Amino acid sequence: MIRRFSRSISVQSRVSILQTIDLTIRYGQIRAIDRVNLTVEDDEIVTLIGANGSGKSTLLKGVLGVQRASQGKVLFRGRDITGSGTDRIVGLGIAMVPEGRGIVAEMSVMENLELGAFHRRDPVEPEMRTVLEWFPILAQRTRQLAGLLSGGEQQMLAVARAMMAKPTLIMMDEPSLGLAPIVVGNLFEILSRVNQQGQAILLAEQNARKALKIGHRGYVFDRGRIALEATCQQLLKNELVRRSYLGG
Amino acid sequence: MEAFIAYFEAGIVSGAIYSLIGIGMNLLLVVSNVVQFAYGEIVVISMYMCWLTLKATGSYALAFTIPLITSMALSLLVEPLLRGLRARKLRTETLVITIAVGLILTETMAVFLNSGLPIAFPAKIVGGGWDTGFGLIRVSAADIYVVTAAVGLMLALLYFLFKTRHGKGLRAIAHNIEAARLLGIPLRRETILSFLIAGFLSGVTAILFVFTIGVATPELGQLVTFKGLAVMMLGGMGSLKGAVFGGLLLGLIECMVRGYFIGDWVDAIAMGCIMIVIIAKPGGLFGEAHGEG
Amino acid sequence: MYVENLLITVCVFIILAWACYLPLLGGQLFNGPVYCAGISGYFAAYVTKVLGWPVALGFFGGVIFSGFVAFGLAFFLAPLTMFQMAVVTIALIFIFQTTFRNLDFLGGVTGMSGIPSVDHLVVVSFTAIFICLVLLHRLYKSRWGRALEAVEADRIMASAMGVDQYRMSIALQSAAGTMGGLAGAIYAFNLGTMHPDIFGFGQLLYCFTIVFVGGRFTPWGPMLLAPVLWLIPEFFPSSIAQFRNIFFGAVVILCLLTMPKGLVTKRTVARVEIFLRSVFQRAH
Repeated sequence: MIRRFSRSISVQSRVSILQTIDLTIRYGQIRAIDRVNLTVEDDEIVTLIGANGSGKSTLLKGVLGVQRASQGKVLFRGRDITGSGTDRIVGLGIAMVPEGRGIVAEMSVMENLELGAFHRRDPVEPEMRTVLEWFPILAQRTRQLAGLLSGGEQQMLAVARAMMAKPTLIMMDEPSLGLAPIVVGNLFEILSRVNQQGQAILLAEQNARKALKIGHRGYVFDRGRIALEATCQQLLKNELVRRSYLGG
Repeated sequence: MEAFIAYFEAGIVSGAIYSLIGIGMNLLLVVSNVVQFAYGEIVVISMYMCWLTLKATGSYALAFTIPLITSMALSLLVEPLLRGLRARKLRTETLVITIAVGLILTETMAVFLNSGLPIAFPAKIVGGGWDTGFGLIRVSAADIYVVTAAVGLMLALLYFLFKTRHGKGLRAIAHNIEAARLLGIPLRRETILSFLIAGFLSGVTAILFVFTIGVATPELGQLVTFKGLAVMMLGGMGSLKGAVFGGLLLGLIECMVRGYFIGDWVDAIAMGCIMIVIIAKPGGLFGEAHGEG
Repeated sequence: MYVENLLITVCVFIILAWACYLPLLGGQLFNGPVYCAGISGYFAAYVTKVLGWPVALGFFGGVIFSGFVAFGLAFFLAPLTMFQMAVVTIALIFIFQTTFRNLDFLGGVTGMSGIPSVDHLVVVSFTAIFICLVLLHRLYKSRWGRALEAVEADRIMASAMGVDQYRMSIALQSAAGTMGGLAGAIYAFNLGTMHPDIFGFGQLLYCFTIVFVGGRFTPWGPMLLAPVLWLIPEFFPSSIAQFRNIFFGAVVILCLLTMPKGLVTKRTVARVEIFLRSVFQRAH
């Protein structure tokens, strides 16, 4: 009777959406990320900031299974996904908005959106409608080749595509790269709204200020390790962070 | 003039078959990044299996399913050989392996199947059984089968590629493999799918050859592969639409040459085309749809 | 007599394998040696049998003529990528075979027989092997060898470092073609007949096997493997002998999957060299 009781308790306790335990990824002799421990909980935006090459991208790729972990574990909703194939991980509910957007330029906007839902078996019309409502620019150009969109529009497409998967977690790798400030502002506003709907987001960004402004918690990466971990508000006020990443 | 129309009609028919070959080979190229040098040999060995089945059982139904099974099975058997190398991007090695597979298949035919003697299909199925027309211009049942099958398959493939989930997945892989990977599209499964489709197409090609040519020798395999290559070159490496055009062009040229010139130069034409195109316009007549030339 | 024949044939195929190996050093999959062997063989056969030229002239004529053909074609083939060159040269094998088959003065489909024989062909063969080996070894150690390695590793970088690839490709092709011609001439005089099917896809597979299995980064691999590969089937009972090509094909595939660098790699050669040197020193 006690066992049954404790089992029901563990079902109630919160499991992080994403948790990495001592995750280490090596490229040959170099440790791209070294014993990284981080978590992402429901409903929150977690921001990763840090210099170029500090390991943020590698972390995302490691979670997605594109890079093999040398040590450590990745848990998704409590489930060990270390070493699983990318297709399985995406199928479990992680959607990626890659660096450089990763859209298929030779296919239409509509087809790119449909690709986002590749793993889903249920009808996608509801999500399609929602997404086209949120991104009217895309709605106007569903038949156009994705390659003809501007940088900002492609970024919207990449986000919309990720939403099509009805994912548990959206990961974003440097979304502001190559975009004009106004566009970036627009984009981050949309990310905020998406998050308010209950979507968990893991965001790796070089544009530290904007990223920390919309984030709840943040991690600072330095040469493959986590140098600092705090709420985004605290990070914004932190002296070191301000000097290194926010331009003093 | 009559002769011209007759040659033209024959050209369209062979062209249709060549297009199918080109489409199969291009599909493998864009999805799996492999030039299948054993493609023609798979077609011909399927013809042999068809003939053997017919001889052994006399059942047409069986005789026309076996080639499809053979070609798909062989195609699937080749895939794992290339998998490890594709990942490491060793292109020469994949080329040599597919050539070696092709040569093994040719030798298998030469040694085991019918002791290497040419096979000939019964006269009543070659040509389909009837023909009509006037003067030199004749249209046989086989011609109609071929064109119908070719067009039908092309439309089916189009539908598959543009209207189904897996088809779009294949196209995504063909256009941008990294994006496809990050989208969670299962690369290995889709690659196997492309081999399966190519295998099916080669099986149908074998059946169409049975109806049109009616004979086969072990050496035919290599020749068919090279004609397929010529089609790919003419239409642009990797371009499915180009393959349709390239196939028809090759078919027409061959038939015109066969009609108007003497000597057994027909097969060398395909080779000549390949050479000329590679040397003059390495991307194919219509430019490249796919990187590596 | 039989032994002589065997030795000569082995020499022929070693030279042919080397001819295929040479361009691979520079990153080119050039199958020219196969059709150059055919061209040279036919040339020698025709001029000695039909035109009555002296054998020596026919021999060298064949070699030079095929080298010339390779040289001429090289201008067109030099700018191609590895894949394109492989395809075009395979196509050329086929085209030349078809041409030989259709030319009646060369005997058409049945070919020519009754080619006059050469005395001491064994000596000629061994001399040829020796010369080729010396040349290849010198090349390997020279400035050109370095250049070849650079190109094989990375074409773009090699150009940036000033290697003139166009000219190098022409040189490689001509050399490979000439070597192929050498093999072809010896073979024609040894066999006494020449017909279109001799130098075709079977030979191609054989060359692939030797080069890719033996090791395409040093000349020793092909040299050691050629006799082995040639002799193994000779010892099969005749019932299995017909599986020769299947055997080669399977061996190539297996090798490429498990040992992409071949059996004898540069490392192996280096180790052997170190070993030999240490033996030498101890002897002193």
